[in-house]
Amino acid sequence: MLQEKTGIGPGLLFMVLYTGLFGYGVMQSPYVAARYMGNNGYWGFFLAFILAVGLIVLLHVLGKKFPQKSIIQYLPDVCGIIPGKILGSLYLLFIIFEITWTSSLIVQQSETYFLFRTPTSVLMLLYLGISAYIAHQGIEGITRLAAFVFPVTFVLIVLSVFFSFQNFELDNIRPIFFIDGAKIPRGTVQMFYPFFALSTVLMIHPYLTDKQQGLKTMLGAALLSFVIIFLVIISAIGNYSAPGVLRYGWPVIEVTRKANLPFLLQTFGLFFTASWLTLTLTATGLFYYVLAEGSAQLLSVLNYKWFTLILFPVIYFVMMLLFSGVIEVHYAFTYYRLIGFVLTLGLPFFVWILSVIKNTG
Amino acid sequence: MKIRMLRKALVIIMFFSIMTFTAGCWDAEEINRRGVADAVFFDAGNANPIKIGVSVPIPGTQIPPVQGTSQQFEKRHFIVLGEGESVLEAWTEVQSNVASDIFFGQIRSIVLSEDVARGDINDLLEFIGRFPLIPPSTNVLVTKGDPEKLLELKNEGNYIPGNYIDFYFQVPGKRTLALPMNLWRVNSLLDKKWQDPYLPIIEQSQDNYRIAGTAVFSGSRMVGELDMDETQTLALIRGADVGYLTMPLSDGKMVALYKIKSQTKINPTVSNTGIITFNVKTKIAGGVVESQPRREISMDEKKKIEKEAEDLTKRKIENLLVKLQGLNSDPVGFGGKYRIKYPQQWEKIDWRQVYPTVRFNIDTEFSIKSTGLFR
Amino acid sequence: MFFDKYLKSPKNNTRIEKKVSSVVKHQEMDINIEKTVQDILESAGNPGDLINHGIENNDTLTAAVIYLETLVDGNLVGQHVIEPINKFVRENNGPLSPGQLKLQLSASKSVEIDDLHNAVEKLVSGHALIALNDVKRILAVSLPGFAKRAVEEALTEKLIKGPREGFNETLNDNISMIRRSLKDPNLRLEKKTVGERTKTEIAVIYLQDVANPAIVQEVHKRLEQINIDGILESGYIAEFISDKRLTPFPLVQETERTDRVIAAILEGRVAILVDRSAFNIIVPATSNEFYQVSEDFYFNWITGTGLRIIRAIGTIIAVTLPGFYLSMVSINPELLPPSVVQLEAASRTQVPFPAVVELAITFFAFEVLREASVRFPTNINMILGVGGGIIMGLAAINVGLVSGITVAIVVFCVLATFTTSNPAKEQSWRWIRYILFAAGATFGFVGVISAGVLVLAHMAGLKSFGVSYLAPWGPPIISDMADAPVRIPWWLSYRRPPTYRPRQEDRLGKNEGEDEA
Repeated sequence: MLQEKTGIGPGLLFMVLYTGLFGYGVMQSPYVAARYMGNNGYWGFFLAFILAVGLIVLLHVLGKKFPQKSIIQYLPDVCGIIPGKILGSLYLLFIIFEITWTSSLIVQQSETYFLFRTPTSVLMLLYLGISAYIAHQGIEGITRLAAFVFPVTFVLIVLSVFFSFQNFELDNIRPIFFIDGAKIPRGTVQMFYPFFALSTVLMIHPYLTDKQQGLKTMLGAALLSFVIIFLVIISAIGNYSAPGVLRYGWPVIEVTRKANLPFLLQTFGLFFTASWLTLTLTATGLFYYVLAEGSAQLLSVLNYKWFTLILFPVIYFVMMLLFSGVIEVHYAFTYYRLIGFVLTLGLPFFVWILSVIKNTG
Repeated sequence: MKIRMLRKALVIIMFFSIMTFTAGCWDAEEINRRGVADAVFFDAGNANPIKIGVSVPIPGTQIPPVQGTSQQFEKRHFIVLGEGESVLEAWTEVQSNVASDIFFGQIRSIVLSEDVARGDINDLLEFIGRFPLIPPSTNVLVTKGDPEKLLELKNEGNYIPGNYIDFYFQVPGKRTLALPMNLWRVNSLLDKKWQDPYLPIIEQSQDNYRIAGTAVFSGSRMVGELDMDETQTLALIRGADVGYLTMPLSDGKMVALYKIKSQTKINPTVSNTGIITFNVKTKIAGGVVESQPRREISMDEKKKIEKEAEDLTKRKIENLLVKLQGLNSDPVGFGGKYRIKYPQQWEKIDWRQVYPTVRFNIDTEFSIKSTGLFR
Repeated sequence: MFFDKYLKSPKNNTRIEKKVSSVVKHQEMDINIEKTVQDILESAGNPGDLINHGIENNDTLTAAVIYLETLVDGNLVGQHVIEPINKFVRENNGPLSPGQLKLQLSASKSVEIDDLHNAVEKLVSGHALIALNDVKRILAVSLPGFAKRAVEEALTEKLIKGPREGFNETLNDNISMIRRSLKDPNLRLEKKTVGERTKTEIAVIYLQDVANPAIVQEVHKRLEQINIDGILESGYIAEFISDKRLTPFPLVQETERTDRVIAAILEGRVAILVDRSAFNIIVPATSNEFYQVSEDFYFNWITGTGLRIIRAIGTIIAVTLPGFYLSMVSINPELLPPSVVQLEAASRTQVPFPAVVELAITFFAFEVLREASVRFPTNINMILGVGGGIIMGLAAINVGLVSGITVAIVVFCVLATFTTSNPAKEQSWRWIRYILFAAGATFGFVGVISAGVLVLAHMAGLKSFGVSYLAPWGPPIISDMADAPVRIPWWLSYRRPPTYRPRQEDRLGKNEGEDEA
């Protein structure tokens, strides 16, 4: 039989990155924008995107320096074996944190809106089980799945966001250019969290078949998800106003639930939730795969398919232990954003500086 | 080979453990067994502070039966009541009165009685709003009479009450008689500090519901009401797209206009002494629907009517704004306009104190666009 | 996991040794013709349809013609073999040598054999054996004459407009139909034999300058690894050469129509024709292929596009509707518009079963009916169908066992699955529908979406001969994606679809390089 392919072309990279960025970034974005920056919170996100562009350039440069290796593999080269392995495990721990936190958030949301009598543990099992199966298909299966679901979900999400502007009041997002001290730069740090999904590029960069195009593709995916999340934030703040957004646990679902086509369609919430759930399942599969592959490379034993199984109970118990209630999830959100900001920007930067100094790669 | 068998065994164990965990259907409940609530009302009870009532349709009556039988004319819903110290207690009593589980996923209107509305509506809406399934576009209304009697009666279309209210607000022409308000907008207005909510009023008349007028709020308490005429003026200021206006002219004639469209620009200015003045410019366009005596509307006639209409609307708006200021209620959103133009000052003031002292400068412009079938 | 074992190549890479038959040994022929004939008759077990025609010259047996009358045309043997031999013997009055024999015969396809085992094999494969006195070799002549079906319309894939020739069970007829359409010298045809006892002939057909050589090589490799005693139908071969994954989806395409095979060969795919089977195999196959029907191309492109869209939407609805309906009715009724909820609640008041059980019963009843109706005798087919289906359904609704909406949904879903234009794919969608149904019953809306993603992830990981199953959506190949949901007119689509990585991109011969999606 034929061998398993691991080459990712530019189109596939675009789809899979978009899935991760949008799926993980959209849900609490209006809340964070409204809380830390007020009525013109969308500027913070705009500045965060500028930071993300810098991050993408950095990832591209790192990828070119170490063409065939993923970060777990070249960290020992750059920093020495023991610090390299420690940094690698730090990276993987962050990915575990990311998976558990976002999965808990999504499971809590599904439970609140659709299945409030089902025990949380069962929903978590279902969600994680399916993500594990997706991760088990390998990078080949995950990218093709992301490419397959992209057109339909994109159209549905754009329609939902478009129609959520129905009761948009321009006054709610004004004053547009009001600068209130350091609120916006501080808010930028908080709003950077949708771009944490770019840290997976560190692991899957060696699989790209066309590394020259990699920069353009990553920029394209980040730009597309930025535009849509930006529109979502503007829509949510415009409809509810910033203090109004703070009331809701899941403002994005609320704003799309409200969108409707008079006499034709009662609510768009169904379409948006279905598309978003599909995207997040795929994104969790991608992160799970990155985690499994990273663990396999770090410990240099077995392969990622084994680790998909081995890590399943680990992740499940972390989720049940730490994030079984929605208030814990919200509480951990602040730490997630800050720690993630430091790690996502800091780690590649640190590795790059070291490799330039030591002239490796 | 052994390792592969071990992995296969692990997978099968995991698979079956998932299956055993998911063996129950916790959320399944038949749709005809749920008590799909249609409308809910809050009132002050006789013995207890809170009374809740839920209107539940009888499932078997919803599909049209064989035409001509008496079933066609039977009442299609019933009301379940409960009273208690807190909202939750009252709610529990409601649940104990029905065989099915009251389900709020399809609720279409919430009615608040005046007693309760003059209290703090935030608590009530908080209780309802936390139900995850409640549709955000539920209509919220205030009633001056007894909501129980109101929802109990069988209206002329034999619709269940929630459907009736929903249908009412779907008709474009009725939206200026009583400005419709959704649950999500009430919540949003309660959170914003620069605008106050306003709710339509429903009451019983002629064996039917009558939805006309607006209850105005200051913060989360009801402070007064506007009748139908004042509601239309409020709609004019907020920007309506369909409305009515009756104008007695100075020489004893009368003209009535409909299809009123209006656009308003509000511009705050602060004088040196710190007095805030709002310049309100309203552009209104309309069509003639009735004129007494019947005459052709020529160019001079049009200019005359327009001039009189401008004066009339200006007076109406002034009266309304004075009344609202007296009640300390700001449904138009003047605070928001001030906030946009002077964001730094907004942080420092308390709008509730400042609002009764602002001045208004009103300017209207009227134009007649159509005259119907006659000239 | 399960799949690792099958992703690596199988352990026994070596060629399978053909088993030696225990009955017929490999031995040389005897020089005495009577002994040779005796050996042959004994090895074949003296079958009842064997004709042994001896040609005597002055009471000595000079030649013997042995053939099975059920496989060989007796007239042709008489005309082209026996008559020339008789004439020669009459005129020359002497023994025949093989060289002279060949000159006498009018038949063209002849082979010389000197091994008893091979001779008996040729005998049971439909050759006439000619044995000569004093000669150790036997001549085998092929003069086929057996009962076969005429070329008829393909029963499973009927079209309104299109050629009405379908494949029949004879390999040579099928090959001739293909050759008549593709008169290209680049057409390559390679024959193989599979099946120990059936010795079925297979022909591998492809265009040499268009098909990807790696795929052709893989086809040959997989065909040679088949180790089974009998091939009854192309389905056996399809299962053997598919990539081994636990999947309900068909990974090769089987078809009965000639125009589909020819279109596929023109796209750069490889066709495998199997003797004794009316269905022939085309590899590689992607999911998209199962939704394209030749009719799309014979009507204009607007019709083609419309039909494809209907097919896609029909399949999606057929698979997801029971799950969604169940989740809306039992678990998440807030997602429906209020008037539908009131209608639903009203029509379900008298039904005794919960929605899950009701839907399951109706589905099961319909599946039983469907399975049984295949075997109805034709003359009472209509009556049983009407009586069983319609009257039973109406009676059940009137009594109140099931509600009307349930029956409507079940019938619609089962019928809509048939918009998938390939029977194998349609079967797989049946089972997928039940998976989504179970997921919807347990977890409602979230369950249906999750199960749907599970199925999609499974499909995304499938590969057919190295081509992703979800191409052209999978790796997004832009030029091919346009052709998947819609049928773009010919003046826009002069390129071959790059999904199958053909060597020649442009249908008219210009090479533009390979795509890497």
